[in-house]
Amino acid sequence: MSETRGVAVGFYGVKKIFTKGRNLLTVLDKLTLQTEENELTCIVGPSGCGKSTLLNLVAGLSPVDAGRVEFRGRPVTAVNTEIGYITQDSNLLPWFTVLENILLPLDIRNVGKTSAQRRSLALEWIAQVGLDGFEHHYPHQLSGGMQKRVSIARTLVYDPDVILMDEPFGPLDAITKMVLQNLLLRLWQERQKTIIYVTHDIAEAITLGDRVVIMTKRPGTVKAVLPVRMARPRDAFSLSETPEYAAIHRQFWELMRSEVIEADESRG
Amino acid sequence: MKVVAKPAGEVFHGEAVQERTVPSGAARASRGPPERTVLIVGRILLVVAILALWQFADERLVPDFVISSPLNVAARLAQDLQRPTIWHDIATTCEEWIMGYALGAVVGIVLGFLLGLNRMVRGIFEPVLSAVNAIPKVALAPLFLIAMGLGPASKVAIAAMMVALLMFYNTLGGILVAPRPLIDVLRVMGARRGTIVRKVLLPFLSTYIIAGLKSSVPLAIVGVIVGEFIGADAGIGFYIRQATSLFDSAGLFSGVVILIVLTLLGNGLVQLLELRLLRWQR
Repeated sequence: MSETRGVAVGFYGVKKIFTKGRNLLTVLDKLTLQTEENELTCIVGPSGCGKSTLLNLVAGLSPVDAGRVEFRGRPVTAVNTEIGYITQDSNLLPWFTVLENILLPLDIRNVGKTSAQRRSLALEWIAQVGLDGFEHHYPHQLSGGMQKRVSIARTLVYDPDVILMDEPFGPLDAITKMVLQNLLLRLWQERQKTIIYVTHDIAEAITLGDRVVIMTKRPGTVKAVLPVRMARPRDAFSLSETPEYAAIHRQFWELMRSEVIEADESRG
Repeated sequence: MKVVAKPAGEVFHGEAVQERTVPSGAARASRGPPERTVLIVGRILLVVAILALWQFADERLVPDFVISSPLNVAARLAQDLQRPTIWHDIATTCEEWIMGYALGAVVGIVLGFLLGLNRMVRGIFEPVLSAVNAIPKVALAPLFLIAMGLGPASKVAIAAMMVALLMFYNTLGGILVAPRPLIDVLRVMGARRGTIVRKVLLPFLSTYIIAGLKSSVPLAIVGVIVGEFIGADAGIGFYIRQATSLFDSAGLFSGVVILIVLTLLGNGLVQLLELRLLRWQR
């Protein structure tokens, strides 16, 4: 895997405003940030600080109100089809089986020459995420964790270079979460894709990230960008027992604390 | 039936949600006869009781020319079905019914898509369609007879209008609540508009469209029969009206029985379609 670094996504003086009835809500303001290629960048911040909005800007699903968002040096002006986007909800198509859901992006993007090739690629990824035997199940027949696995496979199967992940493991129970974090760590180790991972959980950011961006409360902007100096490959189950982890956690939490507490107070 | 999430009330426009019994063979209680047996026996007893009461009331409580009796109706039906004219009536009604239903469904679904996918077109057309929808459709039926004559065309048109409005509102309602996140997922994958319609919109709408197709079966037959009542030279509605003018209640009921059988057949066909299209919900 090539180690050439460069800027994957750049935010330059970004502002984003939502209108709620007659009220204007400034979600992001004067936000400038660059994320590196082949790095797993985690973005943490208090809830409502515009983390998810950042990803929607990169995906081109929503326009900026000021400033610009650049993807590999080019401004994002339309839906960005060079990325993979794993959203908070699994967003699987309920009328398609696991296999059909994973085949969908391959069919849309014409990956592989024949449908047999696409099928074997999809089956390969079903195995990668540990869902053998569930190919023909419908999403509602799967647990939340299994749906997440499908949604990961559905994105990685078409091999996008840059992947956006929006609190993908948020609603899962603690054990399932760590199992899936380990799955993600393993897949990242093998491929070293550029990943931008949004979470509200500092522990998760340290476990996964090469670099952690801490955001302020709304209107969100960058408070600090910090490297996570922890050796890879990492293990989500045992990482938190190491002394380095505790030190990093304390450092990050110091930075986060004031934001969280103020955000809570301003909400009343 | 699967519970359909109902959006704004008007959208679901008189949708009759039919109860369907759960076909579970396993009885919950271990004592007594299985639930399903009780259900079936109960239903048969209810029908028998109604027929017995009807038979008893004939002449004793109500004059025969008003309510006839089950035995008389059965005899009349058996006699009627041996005459070729009744088969001509059945064929005429079925033809009008099926054509009105199909035409109305296609027009309604296409209109629903046109307005659903285009905000501007929707803004222009919706007030007029809502106004048309507010008219009791049956009141417009005589107009179609004046315009299109006594033949099948006017009945097809009445049924089609009623079905089209229902299907239009069901389709439009579905499109307006289509899940945005699923559409965005496909856009990021690089899907074109046509692909999004085929892979997301149509499957999502199938629930709404099938609910509409189910309610349209009896609706279309109402349209056809009303048309035949007003003026026709064949059809079950025509047959019933003729019997009525002769105070022949046995004939009237025998026509009604034929209509019940036709409607049940139609419902059965749509149910088969539902089982096929909504497999993913089970």
